[in-house]
Amino acid sequence: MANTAQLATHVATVVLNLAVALAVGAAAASITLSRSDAPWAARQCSRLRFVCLAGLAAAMCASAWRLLFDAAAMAEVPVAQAGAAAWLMLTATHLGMAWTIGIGALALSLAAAGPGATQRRWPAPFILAALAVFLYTRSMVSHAASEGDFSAAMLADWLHLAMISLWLGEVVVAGAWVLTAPFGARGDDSSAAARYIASLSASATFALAAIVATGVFSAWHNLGSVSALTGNPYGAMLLIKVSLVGVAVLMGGYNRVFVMPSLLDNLSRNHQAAAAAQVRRFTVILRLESAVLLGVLILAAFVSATSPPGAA
Amino acid sequence: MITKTLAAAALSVLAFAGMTASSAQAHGKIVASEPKAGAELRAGPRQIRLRFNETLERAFSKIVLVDASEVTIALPDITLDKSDPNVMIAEVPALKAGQYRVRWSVMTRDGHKTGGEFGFKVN
Repeated sequence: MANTAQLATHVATVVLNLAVALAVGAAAASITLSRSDAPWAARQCSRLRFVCLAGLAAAMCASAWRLLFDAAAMAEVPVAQAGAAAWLMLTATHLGMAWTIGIGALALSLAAAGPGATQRRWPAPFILAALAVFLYTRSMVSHAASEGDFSAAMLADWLHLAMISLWLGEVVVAGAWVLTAPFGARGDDSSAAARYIASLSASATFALAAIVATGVFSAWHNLGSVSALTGNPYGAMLLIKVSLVGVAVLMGGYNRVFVMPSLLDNLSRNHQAAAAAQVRRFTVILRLESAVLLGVLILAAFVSATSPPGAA
Repeated sequence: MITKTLAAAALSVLAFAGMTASSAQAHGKIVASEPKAGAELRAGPRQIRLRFNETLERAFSKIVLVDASEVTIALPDITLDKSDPNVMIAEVPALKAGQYRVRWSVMTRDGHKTGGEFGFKVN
Protein backbone atom coordinates (compact mmCIF):
# COMPACT_ATOMS: atom_id res chain seq x y z
CA MET A 1 0.00 0.00 0.00
CA ALA A 2 2.81 2.34 0.96
CA ASN A 3 4.63 1.44 -2.25
CA THR A 4 1.52 2.17 -4.31
CA ALA A 5 1.16 5.58 -2.66
CA GLN A 6 4.85 6.27 -3.25
CA LEU A 7 4.50 5.29 -6.90
CA ALA A 8 1.46 7.55 -7.25
CA THR A 9 3.48 10.43 -5.79
CA HIS A 10 6.32 9.78 -8.26
CA VAL A 11 3.85 9.67 -11.16
CA ALA A 12 2.34 12.98 -10.00
CA THR A 13 5.83 14.49 -9.80
CA VAL A 14 6.67 13.40 -13.35
CA VAL A 15 3.34 14.71 -14.67
CA LEU A 16 3.78 18.00 -12.79
CA ASN A 17 7.32 18.57 -14.07
CA LEU A 18 6.40 17.65 -17.63
CA ALA A 19 3.22 19.76 -17.61
CA VAL A 20 5.04 22.83 -16.29
CA ALA A 21 7.83 22.30 -18.83
CA LEU A 22 5.22 22.15 -21.61
CA ALA A 23 3.64 25.40 -20.44
CA VAL A 24 7.05 27.08 -20.19
CA GLY A 25 8.08 25.78 -23.63
CA ALA A 26 4.81 26.87 -25.25
CA ALA A 27 4.96 30.36 -23.72
CA ALA A 28 8.63 30.84 -24.64
CA ALA A 29 8.07 29.68 -28.23
CA SER A 30 5.04 31.92 -28.55
CA ILE A 31 7.08 34.99 -27.59
CA THR A 32 9.44 34.35 -30.51
CA LEU A 33 6.69 33.49 -32.99
CA SER A 34 4.48 36.45 -32.07
CA ARG A 35 7.20 38.83 -33.32
CA SER A 36 6.47 37.70 -36.89
CA ASP A 37 3.48 38.68 -39.03
CA ALA A 38 3.71 35.49 -41.10
CA PRO A 39 0.49 33.40 -41.23
CA TRP A 40 2.40 30.23 -40.25
CA ALA A 41 3.74 31.93 -37.09
CA ALA A 42 0.26 33.23 -36.17
CA ARG A 43 -1.20 29.71 -36.49
CA GLN A 44 1.52 28.32 -34.24
CA CYS A 45 0.89 30.99 -31.60
CA SER A 46 -2.75 29.98 -31.52
CA ARG A 47 -1.91 26.26 -31.21
CA LEU A 48 0.66 26.95 -28.53
CA ARG A 49 -1.90 28.77 -26.43
CA PHE A 50 -3.87 25.54 -26.17
CA VAL A 51 -0.71 23.52 -25.43
CA CYS A 52 0.05 25.99 -22.63
CA LEU A 53 -3.51 25.78 -21.28
CA ALA A 54 -3.36 21.98 -21.29
CA GLY A 55 0.01 22.04 -19.51
CA LEU A 56 -1.25 24.45 -16.85
CA ALA A 57 -4.43 22.44 -16.23
CA ALA A 58 -2.44 19.21 -15.96
CA ALA A 59 0.03 20.91 -13.60
CA MET A 60 -2.79 22.05 -11.31
CA CYS A 61 -4.28 18.54 -11.20
CA ALA A 62 -0.88 16.93 -10.54
CA SER A 63 -0.12 19.50 -7.85
CA ALA A 64 -3.41 18.75 -6.05
CA TRP A 65 -2.75 15.03 -6.45
CA ARG A 66 0.68 15.42 -4.88
CA LEU A 67 -0.66 17.43 -1.96
CA LEU A 68 -3.21 14.74 -1.15
CA PHE A 69 -0.67 11.91 -1.34
CA ASP A 70 1.94 13.91 0.58
CA ALA A 71 -0.63 14.64 3.32
CA ALA A 72 -1.60 10.96 3.51
CA ALA A 73 2.06 9.94 3.79
CA MET A 74 2.84 12.56 6.45
CA ALA A 75 -0.24 11.75 8.54
CA GLU A 76 0.20 8.00 7.99
CA VAL A 77 -3.40 7.55 6.89
CA PRO A 78 -4.98 6.12 3.71
CA VAL A 79 -5.41 8.62 0.87
CA ALA A 80 -9.19 8.34 1.16
CA GLN A 81 -8.94 9.73 4.71
CA ALA A 82 -6.33 12.39 3.98
CA GLY A 83 -8.70 15.37 3.65
CA ALA A 84 -8.13 16.65 7.19
CA ALA A 85 -4.38 16.04 6.92
CA ALA A 86 -4.29 17.98 3.62
CA TRP A 87 -6.02 20.91 5.30
CA LEU A 88 -3.60 20.73 8.25
CA MET A 89 -0.70 20.64 5.81
CA LEU A 90 -2.05 23.68 3.96
CA THR A 91 -2.61 25.73 7.09
CA ALA A 92 0.21 24.65 9.40
CA THR A 93 3.30 23.82 7.34
CA HIS A 94 5.87 25.53 5.16
CA LEU A 95 5.06 23.04 2.41
CA GLY A 96 1.41 24.13 2.58
CA MET A 97 2.35 27.79 2.27
CA ALA A 98 4.60 27.08 -0.73
CA TRP A 99 1.87 24.94 -2.32
CA THR A 100 -0.73 27.69 -1.90
CA ILE A 101 1.51 30.29 -3.55
CA GLY A 102 2.35 27.84 -6.32
CA ILE A 103 -1.22 26.85 -7.12
CA GLY A 104 -2.13 30.55 -7.08
CA ALA A 105 0.55 31.24 -9.70
CA LEU A 106 -0.74 28.37 -11.85
CA ALA A 107 -4.33 29.62 -11.53
CA LEU A 108 -3.30 33.14 -12.55
CA SER A 109 -1.47 31.73 -15.58
CA LEU A 110 -4.49 29.69 -16.54
CA ALA A 111 -6.75 32.73 -16.27
CA ALA A 112 -4.34 34.84 -18.34
CA ALA A 113 -4.18 32.28 -21.17
CA GLY A 114 -7.89 31.48 -20.91
CA PRO A 115 -10.92 32.59 -22.90
CA GLY A 116 -10.23 36.33 -22.53
CA ALA A 117 -6.86 36.10 -24.30
CA THR A 118 -6.59 36.68 -28.03
CA GLN A 119 -5.61 33.65 -30.06
CA ARG A 120 -2.41 35.14 -31.33
CA ARG A 121 -1.04 37.54 -28.76
CA TRP A 122 -1.76 35.85 -25.47
CA PRO A 123 0.24 37.15 -22.49
CA ALA A 124 3.09 34.65 -22.66
CA PRO A 125 5.59 36.89 -20.75
CA PHE A 126 3.14 37.20 -17.83
CA ILE A 127 2.62 33.43 -17.86
CA LEU A 128 6.38 32.83 -17.86
CA ALA A 129 6.72 35.18 -14.86
CA ALA A 130 3.93 33.37 -12.99
CA LEU A 131 5.53 30.00 -13.81
CA ALA A 132 8.83 31.35 -12.46
CA VAL A 133 7.00 32.03 -9.18
CA PHE A 134 5.56 28.51 -9.26
CA LEU A 135 9.02 27.00 -9.80
CA TYR A 136 10.37 29.06 -6.90
CA THR A 137 7.76 27.45 -4.66
CA ARG A 138 9.07 24.05 -5.79
CA SER A 139 12.54 25.09 -4.65
CA MET A 140 11.02 26.21 -1.34
CA VAL A 141 10.33 22.55 -0.55
CA SER A 142 13.66 21.23 -1.75
CA HIS A 143 16.87 20.71 0.18
CA ALA A 144 18.02 24.12 -1.05
CA ALA A 145 15.52 25.70 1.36
CA SER A 146 17.39 24.42 4.41
CA GLU A 147 19.07 27.84 4.72
CA GLY A 148 15.77 29.71 4.40
CA ASP A 149 13.62 30.75 1.48
CA PHE A 150 16.05 33.37 0.19
CA SER A 151 19.64 32.25 -0.26
CA ALA A 152 22.24 31.59 -2.95
CA ALA A 153 21.39 27.88 -2.80
CA MET A 154 17.71 28.66 -3.38
CA LEU A 155 18.52 30.95 -6.30
CA ALA A 156 20.69 28.26 -7.88
CA ASP A 157 18.05 25.56 -7.36
CA TRP A 158 15.30 27.77 -8.81
CA LEU A 159 17.34 28.77 -11.86
CA HIS A 160 18.24 25.12 -12.36
CA LEU A 161 14.58 24.05 -12.33
CA ALA A 162 13.55 26.93 -14.56
CA MET A 163 16.24 26.24 -17.15
CA ILE A 164 15.55 22.50 -17.20
CA SER A 165 11.85 23.29 -17.74
CA LEU A 166 12.77 25.68 -20.55
CA TRP A 167 15.07 23.17 -22.26
CA LEU A 168 12.65 20.23 -22.01
CA GLY A 169 9.60 22.34 -22.83
CA GLU A 170 11.12 23.97 -25.89
CA VAL A 171 12.36 20.66 -27.28
CA VAL A 172 9.00 18.90 -26.78
CA VAL A 173 6.96 21.82 -28.12
CA ALA A 174 9.14 22.17 -31.22
CA GLY A 175 9.26 18.44 -31.96
CA ALA A 176 5.61 17.67 -31.26
CA TRP A 177 3.82 20.81 -32.48
CA VAL A 178 5.54 23.80 -34.04
CA LEU A 179 7.84 22.12 -36.54
CA THR A 180 5.29 19.47 -37.51
CA ALA A 181 3.11 22.19 -39.03
CA PRO A 182 3.99 22.61 -42.73
CA PHE A 183 5.15 26.03 -43.87
CA GLY A 184 3.34 27.74 -46.70
CA ALA A 185 5.08 28.77 -49.89
CA ARG A 186 5.37 32.33 -48.61
CA GLY A 187 8.82 33.72 -47.97
CA ASP A 188 7.78 35.27 -44.67
CA ASP A 189 6.68 31.84 -43.41
CA SER A 190 10.15 30.48 -44.14
CA SER A 191 11.77 33.50 -42.48
CA ALA A 192 9.58 33.08 -39.39
CA ALA A 193 10.49 29.39 -39.19
CA ALA A 194 14.18 30.18 -39.55
CA ARG A 195 14.01 32.79 -36.79
CA TYR A 196 12.14 30.34 -34.57
CA ILE A 197 14.68 27.55 -35.10
CA ALA A 198 17.61 29.92 -34.49
CA SER A 199 15.92 31.22 -31.33
CA LEU A 200 15.18 27.67 -30.14
CA SER A 201 18.82 26.71 -30.54
CA ALA A 202 20.07 29.89 -28.83
CA SER A 203 17.76 29.61 -25.85
CA ALA A 204 18.45 25.87 -25.44
CA THR A 205 22.18 26.64 -25.43
CA PHE A 206 21.63 29.45 -22.91
CA ALA A 207 19.50 27.11 -20.75
CA LEU A 208 22.19 24.42 -20.93
CA ALA A 209 24.87 26.90 -19.83
CA ALA A 210 22.70 28.02 -16.89
CA ILE A 211 21.97 24.38 -15.98
CA VAL A 212 25.70 23.65 -15.94
CA ALA A 213 26.56 26.73 -13.86
CA THR A 214 23.80 26.24 -11.28
CA GLY A 215 24.31 22.46 -11.22
CA VAL A 216 28.02 22.79 -10.51
CA PHE A 217 27.23 25.32 -7.77
CA SER A 218 24.65 22.97 -6.22
CA ALA A 219 27.06 20.04 -6.46
CA TRP A 220 29.74 22.10 -4.72
CA HIS A 221 27.24 23.28 -2.11
CA ASN A 222 25.42 20.02 -1.37
CA LEU A 223 27.24 16.93 -2.65
CA GLY A 224 29.17 15.13 0.06
CA SER A 225 31.55 12.99 -1.99
CA VAL A 226 31.80 11.44 -5.43
CA SER A 227 32.42 8.01 -3.91
CA ALA A 228 28.85 8.04 -2.51
CA LEU A 229 27.59 7.75 -6.08
CA THR A 230 28.86 4.19 -6.67
CA GLY A 231 28.11 0.73 -5.30
CA ASN A 232 24.48 1.29 -4.26
CA PRO A 233 21.00 1.46 -5.86
CA TYR A 234 20.94 5.24 -5.64
CA GLY A 235 24.22 5.50 -7.49
CA ALA A 236 23.12 3.02 -10.16
CA MET A 237 19.91 4.96 -10.85
CA LEU A 238 21.80 8.21 -10.93
CA LEU A 239 24.38 6.90 -13.39
CA ILE A 240 21.65 5.71 -15.77
CA LYS A 241 19.94 9.07 -15.51
CA VAL A 242 23.10 11.03 -16.04
CA SER A 243 23.96 8.85 -19.07
CA LEU A 244 20.57 9.70 -20.57
CA VAL A 245 21.25 13.40 -20.03
CA GLY A 246 24.54 13.01 -21.86
CA VAL A 247 22.72 11.33 -24.78
CA ALA A 248 20.16 14.17 -24.92
CA VAL A 249 22.90 16.80 -24.95
CA LEU A 250 24.70 14.98 -27.77
CA MET A 251 21.45 14.83 -29.78
CA GLY A 252 20.94 18.55 -29.34
CA GLY A 253 24.55 19.14 -30.32
CA TYR A 254 24.16 17.00 -33.45
CA ASN A 255 21.12 19.02 -34.52
CA ARG A 256 22.92 22.28 -33.92
CA VAL A 257 26.17 21.31 -35.62
CA PHE A 258 25.11 19.05 -38.47
CA VAL A 259 21.48 19.85 -39.34
CA MET A 260 20.71 23.44 -38.41
CA PRO A 261 23.21 25.37 -40.57
CA SER A 262 22.00 23.96 -43.90
CA LEU A 263 18.37 24.04 -42.70
CA LEU A 264 18.60 27.76 -41.94
CA ASP A 265 20.36 28.33 -45.25
CA ASN A 266 17.58 26.61 -47.21
CA LEU A 267 14.88 28.46 -45.26
CA SER A 268 16.53 31.82 -45.89
CA ARG A 269 16.65 31.02 -49.65
CA ASN A 270 13.06 29.70 -49.48
CA HIS A 271 14.10 26.34 -50.97
CA GLN A 272 10.88 24.60 -49.92
CA ALA A 273 11.61 20.95 -50.73
CA ALA A 274 15.12 20.89 -49.30
CA ALA A 275 14.04 22.79 -46.18
CA ALA A 276 11.08 20.45 -45.60
CA ALA A 277 13.31 17.38 -45.70
CA GLN A 278 15.76 18.94 -43.27
CA VAL A 279 12.97 20.07 -40.93
CA ARG A 280 11.79 16.44 -40.81
CA ARG A 281 15.30 15.32 -39.90
CA PHE A 282 15.60 18.09 -37.30
CA THR A 283 12.20 17.16 -35.84
CA VAL A 284 12.96 13.43 -35.62
CA ILE A 285 16.04 14.21 -33.54
CA LEU A 286 14.05 16.63 -31.37
CA ARG A 287 11.50 13.88 -30.71
CA LEU A 288 14.22 11.39 -29.81
CA GLU A 289 15.74 14.02 -27.51
CA SER A 290 12.30 14.57 -25.94
CA ALA A 291 11.91 10.83 -25.30
CA VAL A 292 15.32 10.66 -23.67
CA LEU A 293 14.58 13.72 -21.52
CA LEU A 294 11.25 12.17 -20.50
CA GLY A 295 13.23 9.15 -19.31
CA VAL A 296 15.44 11.51 -17.32
CA LEU A 297 12.35 13.11 -15.79
CA ILE A 298 10.95 9.73 -14.72
CA LEU A 299 14.26 8.62 -13.23
CA ALA A 300 14.68 11.96 -11.47
CA ALA A 301 11.38 11.46 -9.62
CA PHE A 302 12.65 8.16 -8.23
CA VAL A 303 16.21 9.26 -7.53
CA SER A 304 15.15 12.43 -5.71
CA ALA A 305 13.08 10.33 -3.29
CA THR A 306 15.93 7.88 -2.64
CA SER A 307 18.46 8.46 0.09
CA PRO A 308 22.06 8.31 -0.99
CA PRO A 309 24.25 6.12 1.23
CA GLY A 310 24.65 7.74 4.64
CA ALA A 311 22.17 10.54 4.01
CA ALA A 312 19.33 9.32 6.16
CA MET B 1 32.36 23.06 -32.34
CA ILE B 2 32.14 19.31 -31.66
CA THR B 3 34.66 19.69 -28.83
CA LYS B 4 32.51 22.43 -27.33
CA THR B 5 29.43 20.23 -27.60
CA LEU B 6 31.20 17.32 -25.91
CA ALA B 7 32.47 19.63 -23.16
CA ALA B 8 28.92 20.91 -22.65
CA ALA B 9 27.71 17.29 -22.44
CA ALA B 10 30.30 16.43 -19.78
CA LEU B 11 29.47 19.51 -17.73
CA SER B 12 25.74 18.80 -18.00
CA VAL B 13 26.30 15.32 -16.65
CA LEU B 14 28.06 16.85 -13.62
CA ALA B 15 25.32 19.43 -13.25
CA PHE B 16 22.51 16.88 -13.20
CA ALA B 17 24.46 14.73 -10.75
CA GLY B 18 24.69 17.70 -8.43
CA MET B 19 21.01 18.55 -8.74
CA THR B 20 19.83 15.03 -7.95
CA ALA B 21 22.20 14.55 -5.06
CA SER B 22 20.95 17.83 -3.66
CA SER B 23 17.35 16.66 -3.73
CA ALA B 24 18.11 13.23 -2.41
CA GLN B 25 19.94 14.55 0.62
CA ALA B 26 16.72 16.20 1.76
CA HIS B 27 15.97 13.58 4.41
CA GLY B 28 15.93 14.64 8.05
CA LYS B 29 18.14 12.67 10.37
CA ILE B 30 18.61 12.71 14.10
CA VAL B 31 21.92 14.25 15.18
CA ALA B 32 21.61 14.11 18.98
CA SER B 33 19.23 12.77 21.61
CA GLU B 34 18.60 12.89 25.31
CA PRO B 35 18.60 10.21 26.54
CA LYS B 36 21.27 8.84 24.21
CA ALA B 37 20.62 5.65 22.26
CA GLY B 38 21.48 2.66 24.45
CA ALA B 39 21.81 4.79 27.59
CA GLU B 40 21.42 3.16 31.03
CA LEU B 41 19.87 5.66 33.43
CA ARG B 42 19.59 5.63 37.21
CA ALA B 43 16.19 7.33 36.98
CA GLY B 44 13.70 7.88 34.19
CA PRO B 45 14.31 10.98 32.03
CA ARG B 46 12.04 13.99 32.54
CA GLN B 47 12.19 14.80 28.86
CA ILE B 48 12.99 13.14 25.59
CA ARG B 49 14.85 15.69 23.50
CA LEU B 50 15.67 14.94 19.85
CA ARG B 51 17.80 17.23 17.71
CA PHE B 52 17.58 16.93 13.90
CA ASN B 53 19.66 18.26 11.03
CA GLU B 54 16.69 20.20 9.61
CA THR B 55 13.80 22.35 10.77
CA LEU B 56 10.78 20.29 11.80
CA GLU B 57 7.06 20.68 11.15
CA ARG B 58 5.29 20.10 14.46
CA ALA B 59 1.94 19.22 12.83
CA PHE B 60 3.36 16.03 11.30
CA SER B 61 6.11 15.10 13.76
CA LYS B 62 5.72 12.79 16.74
CA ILE B 63 7.48 10.79 19.42
CA VAL B 64 6.11 7.50 20.75
CA LEU B 65 7.54 5.80 23.84
CA VAL B 66 6.96 2.08 24.42
CA ASP B 67 8.09 -0.25 27.18
CA ALA B 68 9.57 -3.74 26.84
CA SER B 69 6.07 -5.19 26.37
CA GLU B 70 5.36 -2.75 23.53
CA VAL B 71 2.85 -0.89 25.70
CA THR B 72 2.71 2.78 24.74
CA ILE B 73 3.54 5.29 27.48
CA ALA B 74 1.38 8.38 27.01
CA LEU B 75 3.46 11.51 26.45
CA PRO B 76 1.28 14.46 27.45
CA ASP B 77 3.15 17.29 25.79
CA ILE B 78 5.24 17.17 22.60
CA THR B 79 6.58 20.50 21.35
CA LEU B 80 9.32 22.06 19.25
CA ASP B 81 11.99 24.05 21.09
CA LYS B 82 10.96 27.70 20.71
CA SER B 83 14.55 28.79 20.24
CA ASP B 84 15.55 25.90 17.95
CA PRO B 85 12.92 24.39 15.65
CA ASN B 86 15.30 21.53 14.83
CA VAL B 87 14.63 20.15 18.33
CA MET B 88 11.53 18.19 19.35
CA ILE B 89 10.81 17.73 23.06
CA ALA B 90 8.44 15.36 24.84
CA GLU B 91 7.68 15.58 28.55
CA VAL B 92 7.95 12.11 30.07
CA PRO B 93 5.96 10.80 33.07
CA ALA B 94 7.72 8.84 35.83
CA LEU B 95 9.04 5.57 34.43
CA LYS B 96 9.55 2.28 36.22
CA ALA B 97 12.78 0.35 35.85
CA GLY B 98 12.99 -1.45 32.54
CA GLN B 99 13.76 -1.23 28.83
CA TYR B 100 12.11 1.46 26.70
CA ARG B 101 12.12 2.35 23.03
CA VAL B 102 11.67 5.81 21.55
CA ARG B 103 10.02 5.79 18.12
CA TRP B 104 10.05 9.06 16.22
CA SER B 105 8.78 10.25 12.89
CA VAL B 106 9.21 13.78 11.61
CA MET B 107 8.28 15.92 8.67
CA THR B 108 11.02 18.38 7.84
CA ARG B 109 10.50 21.86 6.42
CA ASP B 110 11.35 20.61 2.92
CA GLY B 111 8.37 18.23 3.02
CA HIS B 112 10.14 14.91 3.58
CA LYS B 113 9.14 12.36 6.20
CA THR B 114 11.60 10.16 8.03
CA GLY B 115 11.47 8.02 11.12
CA GLY B 116 13.53 5.83 13.40
CA GLU B 117 13.85 4.42 16.86
CA PHE B 118 16.34 3.82 19.64
CA GLY B 119 16.29 2.25 23.09
CA PHE B 120 17.34 3.15 26.61
CA LYS B 121 17.16 1.44 29.99
CA VAL B 122 16.04 2.69 33.37
CA ASN B 123 17.74 0.82 36.23
